[in-house]
Amino acid sequence: MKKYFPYILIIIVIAGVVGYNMYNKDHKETKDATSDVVISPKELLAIYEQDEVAADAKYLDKIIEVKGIVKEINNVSNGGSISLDTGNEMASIICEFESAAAYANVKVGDEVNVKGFCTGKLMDIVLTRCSL
Amino acid sequence: MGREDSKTFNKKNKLKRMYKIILGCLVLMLNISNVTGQKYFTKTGHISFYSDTPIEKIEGHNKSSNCVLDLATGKLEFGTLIKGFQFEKALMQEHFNENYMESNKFPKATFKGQISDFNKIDVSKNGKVPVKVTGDLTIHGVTKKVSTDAILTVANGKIETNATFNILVADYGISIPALVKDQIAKSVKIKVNAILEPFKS
Repeated sequence: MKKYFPYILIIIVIAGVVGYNMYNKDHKETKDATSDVVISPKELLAIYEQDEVAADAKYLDKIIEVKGIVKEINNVSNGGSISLDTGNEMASIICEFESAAAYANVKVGDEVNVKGFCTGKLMDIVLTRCSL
Repeated sequence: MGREDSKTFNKKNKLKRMYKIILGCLVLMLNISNVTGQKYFTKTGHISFYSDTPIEKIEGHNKSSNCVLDLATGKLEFGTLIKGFQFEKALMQEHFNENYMESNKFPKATFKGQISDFNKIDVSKNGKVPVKVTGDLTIHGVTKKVSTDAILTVANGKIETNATFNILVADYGISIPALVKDQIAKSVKIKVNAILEPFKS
């Protein structure tokens, strides 16, 4: 047994380090990531309106890249969101940011290119952890 | 009655009728504004939940929840996307979605309910109105009736909704693996904060 003790110790330490790193692993970010899908706000909404379940299966958790006109900007305590126009009054693409600094220079009417994780559709389609 | 009397009589009648028509129109206009101006709404509602155990404190926040309040009927509804809950630790967010909430199968959580004493809410008066909210909460595909106190705060034409309540994780078919049983609380606290604005129709 004593012969194997150093090896067992090494395995335990490695397991500990791996576990620790996994526990503290970073969030997947969109900033420097390649987008899974590039689509227009209008088309993304059309696909969701046609069949929400199928659209979810296709897009949930994927990084969606959309280019659109800013319809509305909402600032909240930490972060906020901007809404992109889809041509539909009732439904837009809501892009949630983790910090307001990320979209500080954006004004309503600007055309922006946003990347974010698709989380589904309530009244609007919501993309999270967005980056410009 | 002489001719003069009948003339004035007719004039009086015409005047009375005109007043009645104007009054009728005013009442109609007030009623229309009552019907159309009573829905309050937000797309930036903040829903958070807290799991507190001696081993671990876990919290998740969703800042893009929907909320609709109809003051004419007292109906209150919430909608939130499970994948939109952000956690400090990425691994926890992953476990939350993949293992506990199974958000690929059940991407949304909803609440459809009723507030008590909705007639008491006067949007022209700033102030706090305590209410009771009762309704159906659907999480992980399971619907349960919940009831909680809430406070509606009227401030300059907007209504802020605040509520805190607890749910039992097991009630919604959410199973916690034995390995992490002590890290996740059996009873989870849910906080709701939504600032509703009049729905521009």
